[in-house]
Amino acid sequence: MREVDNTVKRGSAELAVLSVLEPGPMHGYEIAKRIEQRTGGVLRFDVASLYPLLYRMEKEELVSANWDESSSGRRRRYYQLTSAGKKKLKPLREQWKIFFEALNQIAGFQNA
Amino acid sequence: MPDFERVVRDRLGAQGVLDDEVTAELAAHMEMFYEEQVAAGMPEEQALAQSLGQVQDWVKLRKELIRMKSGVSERTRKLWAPGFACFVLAMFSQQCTAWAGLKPHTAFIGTRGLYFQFSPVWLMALPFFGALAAYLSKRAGGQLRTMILAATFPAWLPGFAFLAAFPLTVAMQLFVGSSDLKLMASSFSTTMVSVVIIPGIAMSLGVVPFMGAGTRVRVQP
Repeated sequence: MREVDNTVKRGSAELAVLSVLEPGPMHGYEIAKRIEQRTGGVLRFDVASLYPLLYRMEKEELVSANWDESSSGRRRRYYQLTSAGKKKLKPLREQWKIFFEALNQIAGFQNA
Repeated sequence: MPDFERVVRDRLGAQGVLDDEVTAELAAHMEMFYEEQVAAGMPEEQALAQSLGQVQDWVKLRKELIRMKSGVSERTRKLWAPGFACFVLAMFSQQCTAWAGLKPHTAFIGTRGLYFQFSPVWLMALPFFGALAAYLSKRAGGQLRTMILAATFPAWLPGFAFLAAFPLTVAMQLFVGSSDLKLMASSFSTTMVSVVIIPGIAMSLGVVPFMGAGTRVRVQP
């Protein structure tokens, strides 16, 4: 039987960050902007919600961060996926797919 | 342009508590937001208010940042701490069996003189120590592989030490001219079986109760 890990709830924000970082490194503001753009403004991260999450993911070694100069010449802290982060992305996507399919069976999103 | 670093440092009360890099990063985020709003035509005061309005509770944020930036690493909580707890228990209990006067048994494997020594009481206790390590690891979010590594830590730690020391010992023996390689290989095999393989298997049994693939989602009201 397919089951969803109990970290799904926490993983939703993680999935968003890991997904936007998949193409390459970004600084925090860029991550927040990209998530907002790609979800049409449905998901928004501000300073208070984004950085505790990024620091936790860094501690869990899902992302790594380095200070670098941006195109404007300012120092920014760039985040990128680690190999553990890349590895986690695929099962996390799968778990969310299962979760939505299960919810859909109850709520009938497709019929709504 | 407001000095966001100073504003963030003051509001967070981060001086001496949080790394300057944290303040700089948060300030950079707010600065970019501010600049974007001003560039879009928003009055500066309003843009500043919106930038700072991203944090409703600075005290709560400071606490969260301190929690995330300090303390033990995930790897320590998932692997090293449970593994070390298991190691201490295994060593202490082995010493207890010696204090209690329980002599180790010797069992021969096959007909080539390979044997291992073990204390049955100690060997029977090892799965419980392994289970404790696996439980602690799983509670910290450890996956199966990490749980196994934590539970068998008292076995693979000396295992690596023996593996590293064996070629060195052989080289030294050859150098001094005492080259009874057969005896050395036999003693190495006995030690590996007695200290690494058999205890490792016993401790890894403790992981079995925690091997569930996943848990169902708990729906909160």
